[in-house]
Amino acid sequence: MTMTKFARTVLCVVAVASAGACTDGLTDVNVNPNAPTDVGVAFLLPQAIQAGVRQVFGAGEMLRHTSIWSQQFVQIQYADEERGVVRPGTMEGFWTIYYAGPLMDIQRVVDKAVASGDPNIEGVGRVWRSWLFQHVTDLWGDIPYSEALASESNTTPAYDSQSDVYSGLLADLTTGANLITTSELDFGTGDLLYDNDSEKWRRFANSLRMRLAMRLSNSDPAMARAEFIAAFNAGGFQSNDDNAMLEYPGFPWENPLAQDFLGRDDNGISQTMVNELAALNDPRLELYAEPAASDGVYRGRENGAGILSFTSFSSFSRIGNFWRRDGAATPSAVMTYAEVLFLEAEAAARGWITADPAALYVQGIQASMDLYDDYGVGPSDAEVATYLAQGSVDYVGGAAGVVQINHQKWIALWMNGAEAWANWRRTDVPTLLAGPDVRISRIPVRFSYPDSEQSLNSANMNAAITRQGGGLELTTPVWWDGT
Amino acid sequence: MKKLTFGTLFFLMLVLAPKALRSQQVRSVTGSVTIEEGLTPFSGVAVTVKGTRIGTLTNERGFFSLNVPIDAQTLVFSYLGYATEEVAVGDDIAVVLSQEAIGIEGLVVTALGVKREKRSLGYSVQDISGDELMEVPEMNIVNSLKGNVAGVQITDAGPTGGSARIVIRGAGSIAGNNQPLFVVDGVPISNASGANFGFGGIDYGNAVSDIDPADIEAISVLKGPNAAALYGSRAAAGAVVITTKSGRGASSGGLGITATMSFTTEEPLRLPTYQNLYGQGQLGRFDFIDGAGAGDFDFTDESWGPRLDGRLIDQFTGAQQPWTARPDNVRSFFRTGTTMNTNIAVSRATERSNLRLSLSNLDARGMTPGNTQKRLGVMLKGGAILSERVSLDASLNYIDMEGVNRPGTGYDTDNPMLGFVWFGRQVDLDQLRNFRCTGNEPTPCIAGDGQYNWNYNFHNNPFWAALVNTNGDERDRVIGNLSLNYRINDWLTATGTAARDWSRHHRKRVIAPNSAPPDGEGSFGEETLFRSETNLDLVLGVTRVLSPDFTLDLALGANNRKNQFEGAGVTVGRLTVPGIYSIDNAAVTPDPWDTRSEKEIRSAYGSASVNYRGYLNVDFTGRNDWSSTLPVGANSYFYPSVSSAFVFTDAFPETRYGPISSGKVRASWARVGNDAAPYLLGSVFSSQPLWGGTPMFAVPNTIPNTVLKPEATTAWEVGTDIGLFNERLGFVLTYYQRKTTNQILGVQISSASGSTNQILNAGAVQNKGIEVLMQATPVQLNNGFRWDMTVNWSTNTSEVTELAGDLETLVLGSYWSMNVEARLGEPYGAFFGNGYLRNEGFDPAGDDGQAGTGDDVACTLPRGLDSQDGLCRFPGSADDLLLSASGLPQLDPVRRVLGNYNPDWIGGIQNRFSYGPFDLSFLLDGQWGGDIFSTTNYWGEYTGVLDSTLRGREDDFCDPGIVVDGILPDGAQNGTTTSASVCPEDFYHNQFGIQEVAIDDASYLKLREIRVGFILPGGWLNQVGFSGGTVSLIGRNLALWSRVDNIDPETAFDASNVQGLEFGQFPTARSIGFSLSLRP
Repeated sequence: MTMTKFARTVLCVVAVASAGACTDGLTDVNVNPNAPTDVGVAFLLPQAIQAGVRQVFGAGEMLRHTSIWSQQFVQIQYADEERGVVRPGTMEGFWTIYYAGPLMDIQRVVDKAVASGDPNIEGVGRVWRSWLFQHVTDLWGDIPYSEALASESNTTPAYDSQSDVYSGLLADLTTGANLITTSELDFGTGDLLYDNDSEKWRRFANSLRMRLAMRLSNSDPAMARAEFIAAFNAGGFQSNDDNAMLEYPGFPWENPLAQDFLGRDDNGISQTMVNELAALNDPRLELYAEPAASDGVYRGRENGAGILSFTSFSSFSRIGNFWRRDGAATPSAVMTYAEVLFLEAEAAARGWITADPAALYVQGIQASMDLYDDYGVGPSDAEVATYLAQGSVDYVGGAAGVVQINHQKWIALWMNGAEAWANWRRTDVPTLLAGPDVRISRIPVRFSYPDSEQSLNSANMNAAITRQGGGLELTTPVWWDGT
Repeated sequence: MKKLTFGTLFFLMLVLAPKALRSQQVRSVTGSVTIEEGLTPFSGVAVTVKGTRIGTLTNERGFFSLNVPIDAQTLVFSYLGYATEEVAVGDDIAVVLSQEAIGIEGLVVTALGVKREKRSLGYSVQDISGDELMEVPEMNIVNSLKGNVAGVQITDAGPTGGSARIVIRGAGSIAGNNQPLFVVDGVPISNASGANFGFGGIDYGNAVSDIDPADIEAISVLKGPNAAALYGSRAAAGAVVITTKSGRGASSGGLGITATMSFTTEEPLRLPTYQNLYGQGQLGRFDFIDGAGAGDFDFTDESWGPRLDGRLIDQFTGAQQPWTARPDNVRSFFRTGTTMNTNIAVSRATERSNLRLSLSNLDARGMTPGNTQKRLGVMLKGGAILSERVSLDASLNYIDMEGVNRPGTGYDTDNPMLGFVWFGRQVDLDQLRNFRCTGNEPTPCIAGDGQYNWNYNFHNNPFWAALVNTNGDERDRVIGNLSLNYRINDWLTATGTAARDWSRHHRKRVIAPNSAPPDGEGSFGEETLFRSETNLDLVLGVTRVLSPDFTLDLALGANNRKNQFEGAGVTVGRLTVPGIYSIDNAAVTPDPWDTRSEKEIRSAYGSASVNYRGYLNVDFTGRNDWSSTLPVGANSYFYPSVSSAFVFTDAFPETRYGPISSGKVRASWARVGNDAAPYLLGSVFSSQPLWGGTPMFAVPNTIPNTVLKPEATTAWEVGTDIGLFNERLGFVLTYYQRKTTNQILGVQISSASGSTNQILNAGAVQNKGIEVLMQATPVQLNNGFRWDMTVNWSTNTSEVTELAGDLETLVLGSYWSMNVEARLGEPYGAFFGNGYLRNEGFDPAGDDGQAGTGDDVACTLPRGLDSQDGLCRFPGSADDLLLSASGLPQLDPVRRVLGNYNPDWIGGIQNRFSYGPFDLSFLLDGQWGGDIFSTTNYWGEYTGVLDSTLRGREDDFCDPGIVVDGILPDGAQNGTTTSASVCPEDFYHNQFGIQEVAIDDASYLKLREIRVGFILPGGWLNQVGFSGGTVSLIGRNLALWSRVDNIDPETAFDASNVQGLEFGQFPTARSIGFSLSLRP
């Protein structure tokens, strides 16, 4: 074969006239044998799901940022982020992972579904894309949205204002839910969240729409209310069976927190979380935390204290073994029934929907307590009953009731740092104090734009910074924050 | 078409060839050749009739006999590395060749292995003889070139068998390969590098180190495209052309045995200067309970603990141990390395054939425990004259290289040097030599398979990392070529060559259970890489003496090159039964991978060389490549070169004025095209490990380019070679410029587009420089004493003159946010990162369009408004640091250029003194300028292990503290009216993120080589079958002077274009030993 080609080369030289000899068969050599040039949606959706969940619920974003800044976790060594010192390059990595990772994968699912005229797949794609974009805008505020993900067609996408992004996402969720009409989706084994259950995808879309609507309670109450009512009427989660839970199949796909804990021991449970749970005798404390090794007492560590008051590792509580030592197969709770109930409770308390906020509040607590029943962990029914029987837990109504609802929601959002941090930024519940060794003026309320956007998309990024009054610091609130 | 094979073509040529030449009148000439030194007979010298191809070689006694045409007037005697002599035809000619070829005389190997007179070359080529290489042998021939060739920069990574990077005349390709092509006996070979990586990995060395220096006759360095254009696409970065020894000229009777042997011992040349006043801990506290956080700061791997004053503290060795300094606790980890290299060659020649067989064996014991490297080489090379017209040359080189427990590199727990940066200075390493728990150690050490360590939070015991977490690799390689030469008539020759370089590299890595987190359960991986390059060439050569004044050499050739790579491997993340490293023992699904790539290039090339009266020469070359990696219809590209040399002292003898004895001027221009890597025209989805049973794929991140064009490098150079004082002093001066445009780049784009990179033809890098080679014999006495000196010096300036569109920079690599970039308007290899916040002023109106600190803030007192530039700043200098209220320096969030890895100049000075049988030589080399970012310093200050961190804790861990020079937020100079003192621990921790603190000047000077040689008396050697020999004391890397502390600034990060970063570098070896060589 080689000799033939060589002969051809010689011929190509000897007789320039036979020009074909110089290039015959040459192109065949350049066909990449290692991977396909195209794959179907059933292989793209699972990647978009797991890569997105891995980012939001993974060690980088949650362990060091969102769960720290919502004071659910604490850093017991290398306590930099909780003092407002972000490791260089991390924001860069997160931004790139979102856009060039799961967002691009799900965009391709939507594009393929549109091209092949499959509305159900398109609907699922729009819903999951919205879940991803919601996280991106909650972290960074104004973001490339309407012009994003166009690949070579637009390599410098403009930034949309966060209000436009939210409008777009709410509309997309509505469209998405309406497109899913079949009873059984066709992703093969690729639907890692709902195993082709279209009804659950619709409920997820509506639940997510409620979350997004409620987010606008400060910044655009009218839209918040209208969207919430519509989503509520369309129907969110009905029980813990509807939860969006990502189950891990085993090595190398294990719960990313548990994988991180194998190698690092940088995190404990926050003093704020331990104290809040202990104050109401919450039985979830034993699930969320392990007692301190030194004396068996549940003791969180203060956020933002640096090493100033450090004693020893064994004097602090660690994160519960359900996520740590035994956490390899523990699922990531992407969105739960409990959260939906607290959203509905708040909407009822605000008078947006007609329902009993007190009942929804109690149901929310119950759903949170029961969240991991299937895994054999969490409070027993008796413990829950004892807890709910406490006068200190009773729903009080009014503005204080809204605080109570969000307080319980913050507890229920354990292991969902992104949502806990976002809900705290919206409601300021619970009251969180920056620690004694924090190096910036407040607890961070946003991610900073990455260096690459400064050099590769600077005009658009600078316009967004000007519009928001900042964006490179951690201290400038995003639009919906309202404070 | 298929039937027209290589063989048939040759057959056709045989048939079509013209009949034998007319016989002509001849006479017989005999004579002998010796070299100066001791009048030793010189074998293998080419003797030719001037202006013809008629010639022979001298035999082992230096004699030759040749039938020459009756009208022949002059004989030419030439040998690589020696001055060519011309002698009138006569009876019993005696010729003495001079070893030091100063000036323009002598032969040198040029592109395609053609030996040329130096005087006729229009471009700069520098050569080194094999004898020079063997004076102080190096196991990696790339390292042998250090300091010896002007314009060549070599950096190496440190560990035994590690890779060395070579760049000639600066880096021109932004994203492509900037290392030269390596050619052995006319055949390109792979110099693939098993690079180390910033965050760990094993350095498997660069493939050219497979070649044993003892088999090398000479190396020619073709500097850039001007000299190397004929080699095609890969010539833009120059070529290193190696000629191996052959049996030509050897004895016809008996076996001629040559033996060389060297033995050296290695010690670390430089280790960081550590502090010995404070031990492990933080805040001045430490108490060991479990080494993982139960005790007071016993988890920490930093040395901000209590003063090492002998107090009793619970430690990893047991309760209440004296807390004392261990000043030798890093040096004692290293052992004395040894390297033994032996080469035995037999050669034999007859009138019609020659053969050389060599066996080489390298046996090295590295400086880290358990590390060894072996290299076994067999080389067979021979030639035969099959008939009056047909001759055959062939060589076969088999290499078996084997590495065991190569030390880990980079920022990784398997790199011992990193382990000593994150370290407790009180740790007694000798206690850790027994790395397994016996049951007598404090918790959490568990008897049996447990690991005994000083810390159970992060690190492996360094002896565990070296001896339990093992790695091993083996590379088999075969390089072979077969060449048939057919003399069609007295001016036309056809040569066909088939050559192949094939290698298989198998690698295995083991992580034992009970290793430091996250490897508690153990894992292993193995992989096999196959690599090959096949070249088929056919060249027609024409030599015509057009007239008494003009000669013409023409060559027309065709080449087919194919590169193939195939790799496959498997990783097993967890094991079922500890200690069994087999896929069958996997506790989890093994993760396999494989990849293949292939590339083919077809070429047609030609060259013409016209010589006028021996003093004016003009060369033209042209080559056209068709590459498989470029789009159909655009995959053909042509590139030409022209060069000219003019020996003005021959053309105009009156120019031999004053001291000038010879002189030549030269100029050349060349353009070289370069194709792309395979598969850039399309993109593929990347597969992920199965999710349970579900396959997953991700959308590709790189936007391909379907209309890719080849890169173009255009270069020109001018120079002069001058011989002075009867060739006692010579200069070779060259000025060059080289510009690489239309580069094939994976340009970064905003990832919000959903893609991270786009393949574009864009960007240009310009390199300009000056090279100086000076050779001198300052002293030469009648009693035989002689002093020779060679100076190499070069300077290169690079600039990124163009990038795609509005793009300002292309990030070559980023580690700890320290970017190495190709940044517009800057030299290639700029450091871009965070510096200190300084009193540089800010724009109070916030209308500068720049985001960042200070914007939209009123300019309030005590800041004064500097009316000159309208910026707000404190009184004082712009360089003053702006401190926090607590007195700490602050990070400037606006990133900027902090340095550049390119040196201002590099150079080397070689001196050699010889007297009778003795000679002494030494080589000094170094670089001036250039920057280095050192993580040994960056993290070594963070962790308090370095001597420099004693600042501020002279009395106790926070006493007296550090008062940083700078401006406090109230505008006061710190230390004047107010004084904010900070604890050293806080001060050094606070430096994290400010890369500027760890950037230093990389200037250095090294005593690279020393050799003291003695020529052995012949008497008793003759009785054991040798005619002579040399024994030498040798030393390498004996002394280092540098601007930067703690590290050797001469360091390669990996084989890529990301350089100037030092990441827990393995110490350079200082080696001392002896060598012996015996010749037949």
